[in-house]
Amino acid sequence: MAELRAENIHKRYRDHRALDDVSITVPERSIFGLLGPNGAGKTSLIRIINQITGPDEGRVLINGRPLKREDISMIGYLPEERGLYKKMKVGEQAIYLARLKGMSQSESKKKLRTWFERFEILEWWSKPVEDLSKGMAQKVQFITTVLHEPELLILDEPFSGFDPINAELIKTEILRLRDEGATVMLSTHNMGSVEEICDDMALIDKGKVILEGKVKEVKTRFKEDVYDIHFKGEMLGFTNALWTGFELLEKEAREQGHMRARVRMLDGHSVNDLLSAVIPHVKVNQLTEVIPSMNDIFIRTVKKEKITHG
Amino acid sequence: MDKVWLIISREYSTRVRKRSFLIMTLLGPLIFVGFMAAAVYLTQNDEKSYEVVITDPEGLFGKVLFINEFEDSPMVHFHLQEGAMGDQAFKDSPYDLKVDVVPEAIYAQNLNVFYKEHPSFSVQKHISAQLEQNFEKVKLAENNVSRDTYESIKTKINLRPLDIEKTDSAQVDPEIGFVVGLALAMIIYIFIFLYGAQVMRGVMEEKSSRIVEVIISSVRPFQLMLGKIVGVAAVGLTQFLLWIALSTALFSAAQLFFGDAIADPSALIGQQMGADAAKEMQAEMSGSNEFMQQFFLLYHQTNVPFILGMFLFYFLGGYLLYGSLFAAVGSAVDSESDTQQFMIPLVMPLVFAFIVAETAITNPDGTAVFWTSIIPFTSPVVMMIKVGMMGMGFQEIDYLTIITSMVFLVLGFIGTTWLAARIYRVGILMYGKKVSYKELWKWLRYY
Repeated sequence: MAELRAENIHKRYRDHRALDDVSITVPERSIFGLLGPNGAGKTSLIRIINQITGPDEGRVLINGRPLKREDISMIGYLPEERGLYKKMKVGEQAIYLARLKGMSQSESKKKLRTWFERFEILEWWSKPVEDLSKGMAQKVQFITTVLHEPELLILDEPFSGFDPINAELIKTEILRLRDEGATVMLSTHNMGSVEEICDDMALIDKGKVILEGKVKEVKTRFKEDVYDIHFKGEMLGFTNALWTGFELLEKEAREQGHMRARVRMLDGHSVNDLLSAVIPHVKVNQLTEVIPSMNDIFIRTVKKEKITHG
Repeated sequence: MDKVWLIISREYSTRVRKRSFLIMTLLGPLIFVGFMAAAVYLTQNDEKSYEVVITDPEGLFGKVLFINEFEDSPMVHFHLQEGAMGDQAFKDSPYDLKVDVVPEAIYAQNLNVFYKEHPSFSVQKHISAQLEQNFEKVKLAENNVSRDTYESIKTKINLRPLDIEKTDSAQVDPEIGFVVGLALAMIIYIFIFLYGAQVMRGVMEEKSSRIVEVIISSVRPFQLMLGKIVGVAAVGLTQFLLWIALSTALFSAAQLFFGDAIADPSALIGQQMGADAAKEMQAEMSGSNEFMQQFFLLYHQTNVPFILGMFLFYFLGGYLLYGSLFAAVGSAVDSESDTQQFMIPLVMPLVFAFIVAETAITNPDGTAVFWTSIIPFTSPVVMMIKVGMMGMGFQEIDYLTIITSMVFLVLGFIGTTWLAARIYRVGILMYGKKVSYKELWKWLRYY
């Protein structure tokens, strides 16, 4: 089990500021989503955590103590730019990568067989890598990342390049690894998967954290008191019933006299107020709060940032 | 350290198992022995034999002068013709060469030989030797001197340079030391290019296949670079040793087929020149005993462990010095075509070193040779000349120069490795950027 903390990380390259006072905390046994537009500094941060480059300022802590070179064996890293030696045989190469992580020959061989069976690629064991399809190569890369059972998994764009079926497989594996005790940090553009599997998140833009927290909590924070109401009856009657305390955002007539309307509460009016206003006129079937998608939150936050900072 | 071993063994085993390695290892000695055999075959069989006509325009044969004892060789057949032979008659005749023996010729310094096809040096040598022998006979008879008296008077001096420091022992021509040194220099020169390029390509492969970031999340970039360089060096040494073993085997086999000619150059020379000329040459060396004596002397005064040790040191030192720079070039570029601009500064010092090495025979103690054998970029090549001379006993072993040169080489490759590592660790993660020298300079200053 591992808790990861990055504190006040600064990283400058000659022509730009890649990371500007970035602090994040990845709680143990959780999945952390690192989001941000291209060039925001995600890969820079990930490389610093993996000790591929060093920060100009700030430090990385694991379980409360500074990260050391030896800790590399407790980290599994899947880079965004990933590949394999094309001429080597699949199994041989997987063993090599496992041994670089400090596993023994026999142990890595045994574990690899189990994983290869689970991913249904065992028959490719003695084929050269260049014969693999892209998806299969990605599976091999994923396996070699998690094989040594790292306490901390860092996955840079783990779903890119996978078809939906394999992306689902990887998602399931990530969740399983978390449940078995691993701490996972992943960067992705796939907002759907953030909502599905991430417990916590941070959004980085231009080297700064501009949004962070529990995924559920962040989504709640972005709620705007908007509700979808489904009813049967006249749309005209419904709109007339809304008095100044509500704003009608959308209306939609569905089949067999079913209607849907999206309404925003104004001036602190509650759902109860809305219901008591419309119940005399229409028959309410369903009322749901509209919670913004991660995608909306992402776009909104990044755009806002652009406006405030030019 | 375990990880570096792991990298070394991967670099080694994947390369050694490659088909191209097997082919090169097998073909190398075959090509070498093949060339040798071809050379022998060509010199033995391809040289045409000459029909030489000796004309006697003034009827000297069997009269005043007894010029009639010409010995044939495999390449030269003599024919005597009484009377003159005009130019046209010669052209129409089946003969290839014509020598007119007139009385003046016997006392002249120069003698014309007319040819249809220019005779080789060895053919000329055989003809002149035969003429000399016959003319001498005439002169001996004229002066009433017996052959035995003449042989006892005839003086031939073979100048042998002897080192004043060891006049007690007989000595061999130092040129052999230079030749050995140059051969060693050549091997180092080729090895650096051959295997340096392999390191460069290996780095580029890791970069372009995007495996590098996976690896450097487990090991430091420096370990990866070092593992590759050492692994490739091990491949080179293996290939080199296999070549020696295979060449020796093939050499012995070839000897069975082609006879002694390949193994014993004096036999080869003998066949080229004809038996007499060879005899004469051996006589010049005061008999075959001295030849053997020289061989044993050379064998005796050659410090094999010294030569071998020095060769291995400079072989590895030179390779390590340049290997890390080749690795840096490989890390900085995205494709092979971009390597050109960075290769020139790597190639130039080596080429320069080789030129200096070649001129070292005229002035082995000159300033150029001295400095180039200290500067680590040229010393692996140039020092081999000194190693050849010293190791074969023609020069005192100059420990001061050797140790200075070695220290500089070690410092040199530590320096280049450090420099290369700084470029390497930035370069391998840099994609799609056309890199300039200015850019490399920036990378050097990152930390």
